[in-house]
Amino acid sequence: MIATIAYFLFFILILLEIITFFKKIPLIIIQSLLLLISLLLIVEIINRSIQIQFTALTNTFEALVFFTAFINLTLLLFSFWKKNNLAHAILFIGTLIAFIMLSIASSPLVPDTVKPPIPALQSAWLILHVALAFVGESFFAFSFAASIFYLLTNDPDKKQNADKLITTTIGIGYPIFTIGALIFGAIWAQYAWGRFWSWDPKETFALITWLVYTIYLHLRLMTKVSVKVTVWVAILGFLFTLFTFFGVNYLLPSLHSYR
Amino acid sequence: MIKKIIKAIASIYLGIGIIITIICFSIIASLIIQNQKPEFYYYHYSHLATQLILRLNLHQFFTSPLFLILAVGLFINLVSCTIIRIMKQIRNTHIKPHLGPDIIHLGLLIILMGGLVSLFSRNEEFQYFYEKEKVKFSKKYYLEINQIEFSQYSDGRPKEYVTNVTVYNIHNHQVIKQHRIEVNKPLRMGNIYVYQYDLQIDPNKKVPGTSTSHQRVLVTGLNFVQDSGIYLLWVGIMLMIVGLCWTYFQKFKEKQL
Repeated sequence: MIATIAYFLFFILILLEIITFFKKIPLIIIQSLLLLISLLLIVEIINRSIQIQFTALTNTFEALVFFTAFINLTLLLFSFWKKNNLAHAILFIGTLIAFIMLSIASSPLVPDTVKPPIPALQSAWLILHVALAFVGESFFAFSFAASIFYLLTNDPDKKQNADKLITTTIGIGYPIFTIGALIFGAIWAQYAWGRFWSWDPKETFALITWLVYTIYLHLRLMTKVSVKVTVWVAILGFLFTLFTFFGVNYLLPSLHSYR
Repeated sequence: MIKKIIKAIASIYLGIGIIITIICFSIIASLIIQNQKPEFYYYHYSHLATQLILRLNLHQFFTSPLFLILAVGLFINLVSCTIIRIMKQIRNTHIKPHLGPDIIHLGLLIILMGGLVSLFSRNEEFQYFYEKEKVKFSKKYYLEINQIEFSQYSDGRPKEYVTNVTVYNIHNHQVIKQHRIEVNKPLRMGNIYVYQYDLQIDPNKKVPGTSTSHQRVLVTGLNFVQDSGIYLLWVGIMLMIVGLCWTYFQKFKEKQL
């Protein structure tokens, strides 16, 4: 019910963001909707957690709800940035990404039944792993939105600002993703199965995602490779992020596969 | 000449090139599915493709010579690059050192070393046991399975797999400790870890003296692991966390983020 209300509010938010391209709407309204949707989704997670007496981050539905909430919070954070001549476009692209995530969560592909976790998932390390991985990925989602904007705009000032945003958000998301997705995931695996790393498809593609963002940071900060090339690397990074989460679950068998 | 060679070995472009190669092969390895029998690949792929997969060991890529060569190449590149970076920072006394990335790189190097040690030193043995069985699992200890517990949620999904054990000294049979082995809570004795891997109901056995069908005998699946590499892996992990926090704290302080 709560997630349904949030989904409905997304339609209003997207409509208002489209209108802002033609007519000025106070930013506070957009910000309020972003915050409200995030809070509703977080309340959904809390509600499910109370029902199962464990933190509700153990299936695809809960992961997507959490991810959507944090993409919105990242967009909200960005909306306070003063150089917001890019605000409308990047907010719009980012909101679409968040909306798509929640749409997938609401689809028949993703069961939303509330179930307490099986023994392997009863771990604080798992919760930290999932939570931090998605917080990191919410910054990657934002960098993807900024990358798309970079490629679409011809204005050199806007390109420069977009590039700065991409570097900043990947710079913030990268350590969080490294610690959450890779390090805490490995620690959980060590406690659960006695092996930090098993090279199963989920782990391998998470590592590939991390390596792509590692390449981005090194190319962007340490070499003279053109910004456009690095923007495409950032786009590739997020595509791998999505494949790690969806592609592996639905296309490849793995210890991580769950529906 | 030597300087040029060292510069080439430590080159960031070489490092990125090796990483891209690892990415490409890792994608192929994951997509073809790892660790299947040759018949699987002959069935799903062309004869030529399967020959290539088997010759390059792509079906076991992450323990193959190709992967090891790439990993060693990356290791050498990273060591060279880290040494050059640290030496530059020591020489340039007027510039504030940025050691965060070097700590991250050091952590990665130790993780790579730990992975290599693990590859050659890991011993793992999985077995099923009944209650009251005694298991010798090291030169110093054996354990006795006291009680196996299994609980389910109302929808039939497993809730808890537990094996209650007592560990004894192998020489004088003194009790060392009692432990409740659960998933995510292994028993540790020295450098051996015992994991709760599986739990089953033995369909062929019943509790003696009962005739009711639900009085089944439980069988616990325990995995005994000994791996010298894990110490290096833990050190590498800690260094990476420290390095990441250091780097980004420094960037926030300098308002570069």
